[in-house]
Parts: sequence; structure tokens; C-alpha cells
Amino acid sequence: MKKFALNLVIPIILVAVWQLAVSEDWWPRTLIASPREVGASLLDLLRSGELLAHARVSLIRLMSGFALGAGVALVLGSAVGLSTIAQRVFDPTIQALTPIPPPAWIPLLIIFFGIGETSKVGLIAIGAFGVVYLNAVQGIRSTDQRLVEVAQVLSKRRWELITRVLLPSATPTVLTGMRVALALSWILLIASELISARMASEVVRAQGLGLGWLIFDARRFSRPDEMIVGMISMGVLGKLTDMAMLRIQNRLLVWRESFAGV
Amino acid sequence: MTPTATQNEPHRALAAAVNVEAKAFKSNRDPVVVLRNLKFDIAAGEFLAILGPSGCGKTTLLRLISGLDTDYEGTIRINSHTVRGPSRSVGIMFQEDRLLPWMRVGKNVEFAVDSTLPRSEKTRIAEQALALVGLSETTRLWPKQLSGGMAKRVALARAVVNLPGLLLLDEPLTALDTPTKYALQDEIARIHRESASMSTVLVTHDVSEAVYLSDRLLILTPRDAHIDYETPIPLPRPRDRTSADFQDLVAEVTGLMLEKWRNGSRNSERVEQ
Repeated sequence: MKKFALNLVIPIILVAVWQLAVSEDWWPRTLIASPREVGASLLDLLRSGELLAHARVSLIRLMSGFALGAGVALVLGSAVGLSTIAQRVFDPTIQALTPIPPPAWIPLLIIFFGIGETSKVGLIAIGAFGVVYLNAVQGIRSTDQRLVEVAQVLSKRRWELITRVLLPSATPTVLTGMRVALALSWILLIASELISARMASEVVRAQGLGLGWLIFDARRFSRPDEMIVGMISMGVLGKLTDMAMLRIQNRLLVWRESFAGV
Repeated sequence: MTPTATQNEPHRALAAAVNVEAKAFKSNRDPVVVLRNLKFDIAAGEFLAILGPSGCGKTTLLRLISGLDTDYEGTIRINSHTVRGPSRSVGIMFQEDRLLPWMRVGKNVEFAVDSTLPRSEKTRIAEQALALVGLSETTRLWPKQLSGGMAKRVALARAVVNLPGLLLLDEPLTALDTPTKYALQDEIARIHRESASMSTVLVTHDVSEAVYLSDRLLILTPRDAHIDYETPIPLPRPRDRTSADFQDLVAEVTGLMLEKWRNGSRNSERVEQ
């Protein structure tokens, strides 16, 4: 119990200040909702199943985009890291494109794919790709040469060198990259959902599900309570996916010597 | 250690008689001579120590013998075969233990074994090597969980797991504290003794270590390595660090070493080979 006491200090203060702000009308009631209203709205949305439906849609988009971007990045990044020919073929082009901030791709994506699922998943994939690619290449390149020599002195074939020395050596860097890419994916998810919600007409409303859509729609209908529920839900899901990633990381990196904090 | 020979047991290379003739430069563009006209032989089953200060090229020499580096003039022959690259019949122990951190101890030693062998064979051979250094219990441990001495033993097990004809030791014990160092030296002595025909080359800057372990020692000059001095070690085995003979010899060699290294290569005495 005592352990959590410290964790709760700031949240409690924040909620108290928030409640105060609403009670004292620091902002108009139409724009902001009180903690109690948000809580009530949360329960409503949960009971009606709406929240879960939105969350599910958002999660699927996120996972698809992330898997696509990270997957391609792992393959390409490994190839480039391992082969100078692959590097010369792919790296210059990729290095020219990755500095483009992912949101800058939105207009292009919308022109080609409209505001449906493809552009959303595509945007997330682009963002995830950049990060994971760089980490994959870097991870392989930074393998300790002394360990490579061990494989050489043991007359190991190239394939074994790659799979048992170079790739495992790159795993810590790659996993760190994937955690960052995941966080970025959430950002791009909300961006794409907000944008398509804004651009959507009634006709394509059906495609507008998702937490980002919920937030936007809530603002449109002056439901600040639902808006905040959307935000909190995203935060919770983001935290959960990060924790899952962390779990995987710890499992795969159990061999690592690292500093865990004082 | 008399390994029970099975069909799949790798043949122990006939004890390596090594013939070294080498001249090496730092790099193609850098004319600094790293090894100058080095010429010596290692008899089968012999334990040879090469004494030299840091940076004199003795590590380079080992790398050439192991086949890791091939950029030199001259020839290096093991059992009359020219060394063109690494081979599993040459085992090597580096200054750092260089265990693969993402593999458990057992797998690390298995990694050294011929990959084409069936899994059970590899495990069996690896376990034999670990038993040899007294670490049978550590198969499931991660390298990060090992103490310095244990890690060195694993590295030693890995170096001898293929029953090499030639064992190269590149100052492997420098990083250890004295008691652990002495224990490891005894391990190395025991393994050399029990393997009958394996030749061992130890590169070190520690005179006491060289005298303790070797049948014969060479002193290399600083800077451009060539053999400055050579002497057999006539002490009986097992060696006794506390005996007067031992300590006299260490003192004598140390004195020689200091004199030669202080004077540099100009005043070197060439011993008739």
C-alpha cells in the first residue's frame, strides 16, 4: 500500500485542481467537464459497449500499421546492415525519405488512398518504419568486432555468424527502436483519426470509428466529458501496449547486464 | 583426459609442429615494422611462452598463427600445412573472455563445436569440455552471472573443446586477481599436460607466469618484434613457485628482460637458432 502512496500524490493533486477549476468556472462549462462528469461518461460509454468498439478499431489500426512498418524495416534494415551492396542500393533513398516528418505524408496518402483505413495504417507504418529501420542498421553495425572474431576463429559459416552473432547483438537496439516506434505509432494514429474525422461527411461516418473519432465527435457536439474519456482511454491503451512491449523486451534481453536504478 | 573416440569424434590434429617465418607491417601505408624477421619453431607437445611488453607485436604474432590475419610476408606452417585462415584445430583464448552474452554457458561452448554434428553430439562434447575445467554445473548460467575466473574457465573450455593440436593463449590472465590467476595457471598447466600432444603458445608480459608454465621461453623486443633471447626452462614439473630455483630463474629472466627492453632493439643479442 505504501508503495503506491507516492505514485498517487501528483494524480490526486491534479484531480483536485481540476475539480476546483470546474467548480470555480475558470473555463465555461461547455468547454470543460468535471472529474465526476467524466467518470459518469466513462461508465456510460463502457456499459453501452461504444468505448470498447472504438478502442478495438483504434488498436487494430495501430497494430496493423506498426506490424507493417516495423516488419519491413526489420527486413530492409537487416539487409542493409549486413550487406554493403544492399546498403548502396537502399540506404541513400531511405535516408532521403525518413527525415520527412510522417504527418507531412498525410496529404499524399489522402490523395492516393482517401481518408479510409489504408491511409491511416499507411501513415503509422511510415512512422514506425523510419525508427525501426535506423535502429536495425545501427544495431547490426555496432556489433562488437571482438565477438565477430570469435566466430571467425571458430570457422563459422556466414549464416551462423549472422544468426548467432550479428542479429542477437542487434536485438537490444532494435527493441528500443520498436518501443519508440510504438509510441510514435499512437501519435500518428490519433493524428490520422482526427484528420479523417474532420474531413468525413455523414456518408462515410461508418469509417469514422476509433478513439480519435470519438474525441473529435465529442468536441463537435460539445461533449467535453466524452472528449476526456477518449483521451484517457488512449493513454491507458498506450500505456498497456508499451507495457506489453516492455515485457517482450525483458524476456528477450534476459541475458543483458544493465543498470536498474538506485 | 583420454577422450573416448567415437565415430563422430573430431580427429585431434597431430600435435602441431609450428614453423613461423614472418615479417609484418602495421598496414599497407604505414611502414612501421610490427614483426621483423621472426623465425622460430614450436615442437609438438611443447609449451612455449613468448614474453614481450605491450605493443611489441606479440598479439599480432598470435593472430597470424591463428589465421585471423593473413597480411604478412613469409610463411606459417602447422604440421607442414601453410596457414591460410582460421581452423578448428587451433584453439585460441583471448585477453577478454569474449563469451557471447546472449547464449548460456553450455551454448557458448557448443558454439565452438562443428555445427554439422547432431545436437546431442555437440552437447555431449561441450559438457565434456566444461567438466574438464570443473564447470559442469554452470551450463544453464548466463555469462553475466559468472565471476571473472569462471568466465575465463569457460573461455578455456571453449578453446579446447575441439581437441586442438595447437592452443594459443593471448595474455588471457592479465585481468584476474592473483589467487584466481594462479588457479587458472594450474588449470592451463593441467590441460596441457593431460592432452599429451597439444602444443601451447602463451603470450604474456608476466615473467613468473611464463616461467611457471613453459618448457621454453622467447623474449621479444619492444617495437619491432624479433626474438631477443631464448631459453629453455629446465625446472621439473609440477613447478613450485616457492622453490629457490624457480625464483632465481624468474629473477634472471626479469633482469634480462628489463635490460633488453630498456636498451631497445639496438643492443639485442641474437641467439643462434
